[in-house]
Amino acid sequence: MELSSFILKRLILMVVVIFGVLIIVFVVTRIIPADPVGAILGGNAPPAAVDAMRHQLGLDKPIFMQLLDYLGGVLRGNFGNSLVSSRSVITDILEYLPATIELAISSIIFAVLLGTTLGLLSAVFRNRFIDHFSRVFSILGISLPGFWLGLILILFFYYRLGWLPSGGQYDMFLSPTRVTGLVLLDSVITGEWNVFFNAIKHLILPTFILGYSSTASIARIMRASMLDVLHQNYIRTARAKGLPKKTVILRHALRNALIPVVTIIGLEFGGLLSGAVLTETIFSWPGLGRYIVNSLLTLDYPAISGGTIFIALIYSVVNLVVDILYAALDPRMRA
Amino acid sequence: MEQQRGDLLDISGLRVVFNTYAGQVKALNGVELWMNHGERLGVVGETGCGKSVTALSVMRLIEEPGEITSGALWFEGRNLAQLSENDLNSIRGKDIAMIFQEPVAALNPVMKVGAQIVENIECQRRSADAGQIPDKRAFSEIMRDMLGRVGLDWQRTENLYPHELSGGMAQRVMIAMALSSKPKLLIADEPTSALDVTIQAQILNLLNKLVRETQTAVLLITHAMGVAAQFCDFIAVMYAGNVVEYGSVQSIFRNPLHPYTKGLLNAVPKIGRTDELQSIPGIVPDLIDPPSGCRFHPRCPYRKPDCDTLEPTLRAAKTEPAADRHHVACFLYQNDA
Repeated sequence: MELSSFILKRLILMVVVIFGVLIIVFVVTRIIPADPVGAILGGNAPPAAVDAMRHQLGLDKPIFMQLLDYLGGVLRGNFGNSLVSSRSVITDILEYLPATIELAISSIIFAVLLGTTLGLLSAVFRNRFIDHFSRVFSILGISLPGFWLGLILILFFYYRLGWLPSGGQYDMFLSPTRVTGLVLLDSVITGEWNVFFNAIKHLILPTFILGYSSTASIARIMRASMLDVLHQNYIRTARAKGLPKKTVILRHALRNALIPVVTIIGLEFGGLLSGAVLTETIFSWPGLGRYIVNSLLTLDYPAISGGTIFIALIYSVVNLVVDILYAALDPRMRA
Repeated sequence: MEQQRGDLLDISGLRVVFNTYAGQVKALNGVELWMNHGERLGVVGETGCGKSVTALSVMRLIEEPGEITSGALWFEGRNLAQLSENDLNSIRGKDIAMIFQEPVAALNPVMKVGAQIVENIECQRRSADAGQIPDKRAFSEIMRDMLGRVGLDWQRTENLYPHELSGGMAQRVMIAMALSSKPKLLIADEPTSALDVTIQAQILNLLNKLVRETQTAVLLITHAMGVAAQFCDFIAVMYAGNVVEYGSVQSIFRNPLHPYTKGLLNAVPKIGRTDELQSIPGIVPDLIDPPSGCRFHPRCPYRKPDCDTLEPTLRAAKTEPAADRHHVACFLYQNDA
């Protein structure tokens, strides 16, 4: 199959998936036994005001009609207005999204670099010290709860040592110029280097906490995959050519071993973008995860739906990119 | 250093073990083999007798949990068993090249086959003329020439990936790769076993033609007596980690001495043969706990009292001309011992 027709097919499939997510989220939020009007106006509001609000938000229509209204809006690019901020949901999301993207990207870079390196060394020096270290490190990464470890690290590096800040994207007294919303990128563009280094310091702990379990998964898959590849016949052929061990590993084994790892990296990255809720809460990170949690607490229906669809969209795009990368890495996939 | 029996390769007393959870597998139990430049030696035996382990030992490609515990691998006066990885890498692929049983699996699935051949040429040249700037275009020329010589159209082949090749084409690519560095010794480990019968003949004919042109010595590992007889000058018969009989093809076929060799030849069907096909009774021994003495004694119809306590060594059969190099490891022929 041609790559372009493959991508087109996946794009069509993606639209179907997004609409599926949209309908499920819409229906689920509407049938839970909670009343957004009560949440907005408070429990003691007069019935007339409640009815007026209900009508204004369209909540007095049957669910099916509400869904059609919503789908019609989405097709026109209108995700509705937040019940809390009264702004367009898109505006809200675009404000919170960059912080999440920044954290997710820095976490995945951390996880990929450390995870593949540990996995590679672990496989090449099997049953030696580095292997044992990497395996213990991985087990801890998968089993330690991130929110607990996050609090411990804040206690240690902020409270005891005072080396790193406890939360936020940058210090409160700074007011960086917003260009793209990605603080690191903006500070480089505008040359505000104090903001840049301040933001880096704020990124260290959340990156570690968010990326740790991904690092562990990547290291484990990398190790298993590498051990498998090192026993393949073509590695023996490469050695029979008289290539030095380093070349055999880096040129022949690594690329083959990376094929399954790319899948995991894609899934983990999708997870980082969408699943940073706890980390964002602990580190007061102004990201999408926190936006959705707050929306849930205030029963902000349009915000919940909009945020969820955005995450589903990101997840689908990441998966598509992974599949394309897959084909680039493995010629057998292009057949 | 003792006198090398063959001026190219002389394996003496080679022992290899594999340390597994079930116990130590004594895969090679003092293998003796030798050959001169340009000769073709066939190593035959059943699955698990140590043929492939012997071949991999020569390349020093035995991997954990396997290890060479003793013995010498003389190659042109150097003991490969004692060389460092660096020194070995200057011999691997350059002086000794190897082709394998599963040609498609032996090629890297994510590299174009042309590039894999070029890599071999480049690797050999780099150690030969160190310091000079490698001439990639010249390497490509050699690669294309080699593809042509193994009967492949380079324009159609060089940019293919291994999964796009048939088994026969892949083995041709492997042969092109192995011979691209003009090795002195080509080790062919069951090169045709995984291929269709018609392709087997093509590959053997091709190999025959190419090594005759270049006077390359061949160590052919096979389980097919017929293939060895057709292709080789000498044959070594292996059983359970030992070479039990060694000699020219004529001497082995006309006058097989070892009871195992006799059994093997009786098990080969021939046209016009009307008697029942003979098999060797018993099964191949477990090499974790091999039989004491001669490893063949539990299956041997000519067993003598000492066969289960003493290990026979490979000795010259005295009645034949020296040129036949006929040797056998059996007490039936060593009454004087």
